[in-house]
Amino acid sequence: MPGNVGRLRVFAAAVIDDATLGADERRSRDLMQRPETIELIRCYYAVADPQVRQQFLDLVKAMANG
Amino acid sequence: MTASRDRPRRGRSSVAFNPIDVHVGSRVRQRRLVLHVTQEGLADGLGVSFQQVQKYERGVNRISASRLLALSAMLDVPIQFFYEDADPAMPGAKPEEERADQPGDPTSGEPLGRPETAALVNAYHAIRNTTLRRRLLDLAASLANASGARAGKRRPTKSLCRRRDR
Repeated sequence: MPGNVGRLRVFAAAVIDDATLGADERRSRDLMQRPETIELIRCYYAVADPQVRQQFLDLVKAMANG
Repeated sequence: MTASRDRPRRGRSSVAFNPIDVHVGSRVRQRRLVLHVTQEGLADGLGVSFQQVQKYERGVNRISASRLLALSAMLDVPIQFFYEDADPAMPGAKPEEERADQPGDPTSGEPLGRPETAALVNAYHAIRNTTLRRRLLDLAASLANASGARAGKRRPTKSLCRRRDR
């Protein structure tokens, strides 16, 4: 049932969904939607070697904790 | 079209999903999350169960052409949005049998849903210094481009990581 009614239902559900999200979930979702985050994930997974990815992840974690 | 008819055909022993179905499903999920739409909301709009939406998003069930058209209208994106960045070399796009040499691979599955991704994103955003974050992003781009150059035969990494290393 595509069309305006379908769209209205989707956006109504979106509003309800937003209201029911916890602060952590909302923060997490907002972070995931940032262009910077999307670019990071793209670049990260473009690294073919899992060891290099792991080392990069370790570096980021170390920076975050330092 | 019924859910069973949407289901991709698989061999008796094979559980591999079609990488394009997985990709299209992940794009549906990505767009749905951007619009803050629940699976139930989308299912309601499509006239299917939310379990069916889950299967679409995981690539377990193939989305029919008519349903993809409905999704593009509901999610307010052109059809081609669902195919953008589809690349056989992209993570999660390989059929499972091609991943058989990586048993217990923690990176298996959709990139956005991996614990590794959550750890990366959380750690990255825990860094308050924006310059440092930018440097890390540059480093990731350099690593990605170096990786793409080494792969040689593969499509250039630039298609996945648009950022230019500096």
